[in-house]
Amino acid sequence: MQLIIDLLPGLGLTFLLWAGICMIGFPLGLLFGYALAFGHAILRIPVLAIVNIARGFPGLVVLYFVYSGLPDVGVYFSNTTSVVVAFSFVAAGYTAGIFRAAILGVPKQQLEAASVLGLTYWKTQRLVVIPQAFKAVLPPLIGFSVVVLQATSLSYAVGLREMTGLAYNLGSITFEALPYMLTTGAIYLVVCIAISQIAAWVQRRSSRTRRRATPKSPPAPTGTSVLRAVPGAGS
Amino acid sequence: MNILWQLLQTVPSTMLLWAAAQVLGLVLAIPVAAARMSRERTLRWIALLWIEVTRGIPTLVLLFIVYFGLSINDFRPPAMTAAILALGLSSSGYLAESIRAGFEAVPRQQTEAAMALSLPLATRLGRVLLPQALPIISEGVVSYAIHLFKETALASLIGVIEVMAVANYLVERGVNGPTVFLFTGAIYLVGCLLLAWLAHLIGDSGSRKRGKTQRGATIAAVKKVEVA
Repeated sequence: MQLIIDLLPGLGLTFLLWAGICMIGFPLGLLFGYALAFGHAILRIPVLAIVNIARGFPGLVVLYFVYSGLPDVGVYFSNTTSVVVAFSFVAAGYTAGIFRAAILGVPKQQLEAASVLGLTYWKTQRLVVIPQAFKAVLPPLIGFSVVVLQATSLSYAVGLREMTGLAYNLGSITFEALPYMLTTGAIYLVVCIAISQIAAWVQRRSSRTRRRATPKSPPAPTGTSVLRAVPGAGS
Repeated sequence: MNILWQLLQTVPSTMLLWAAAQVLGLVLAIPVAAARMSRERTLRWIALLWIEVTRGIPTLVLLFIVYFGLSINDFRPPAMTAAILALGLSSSGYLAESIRAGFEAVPRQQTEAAMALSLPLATRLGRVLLPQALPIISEGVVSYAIHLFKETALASLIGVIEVMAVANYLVERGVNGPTVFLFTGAIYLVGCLLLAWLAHLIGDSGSRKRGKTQRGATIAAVKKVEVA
């Protein structure tokens, strides 16, 4: 119990880092996703290169690049900022693919309908595409946020005292490295399982609302009466 | 160029770590997947626990747990051994899930048909279910292998001398940081691309072979009908 209490401040910082990375990385991923889905080649090719670097470089290499590489060219980040910058970049690269698929997954007819209704491009995106893409994107995004949470443990490498770093420090002070690490692992496990359960719940809920929405969608009672008027169609 | 050469010299060490962890992961994953699909409820629960634990604990934490767990009194395990064990453990959960996904994708009727023909278990698994599950399993295994190749960089944090460790050493010695880390990242990126390309090649030749045998079987069947 004492072990858990000792580690709680670290868990707080872990959550802060996690929130920061998700809040910067996911919107950036959305922008990248748009560029990949609709962008002109001049935009799309550099974004594709960035996305491939973000996904092909190990997270640790990106982190070290930001923390101990960039100072050589005169850009200094504190260790907290380095973690957020580095992993936001990686998260944007990974989520770009998720967003791209969701944006392209919105049926083409919807875009045509929107343009027939005279909606501008941005209005179409804001009112038609994004709300639908958001629903499709939510479960994989929550799933990916588990990966982000686990990745914050690498902050240990730049001397940050989030949960892993704190456990390592406490372990080397008290010579009880293994109990602290085991407790840390157990806390990560509980948090990750909780998040996955939320993702599963969201998935179930969104699929249920979609199913419920289908029978509702032919709404107009006049429509049914027209159908009934056709001989043989009714009763 | 000198930097790149120094980094490349430790690539074999990274490759060894990667290959050993992948093999260990597969060896562990097969019984876990079998237990996960077992009819025994207790076995299923144990397998589920294994999968959740190995997937839910960050790889770095697992690395420390294995490293500290093997340290008894003054004994310190070789860093490479600890890293292989930890990465193998963390792979086993994901790999077990991809094996299960592969077998579950095979239609139920195939099992039922094999049972109706009273094929022995080994034939049912080896000649009926596995060939159909294999494309899906290998897809999962390959994508995890690519992920694992990047994960090996974590081993530098417990003192394994591989590409990442050399990169850090060079930067501490005062070599230009951005250059070193870009080269390091590029080595991993090229490794991942090579792996993906190799898997693509093997997958392609596999499906071509399968296509050929299927066509061969069809032709043989048609001939049989013509003779009759």
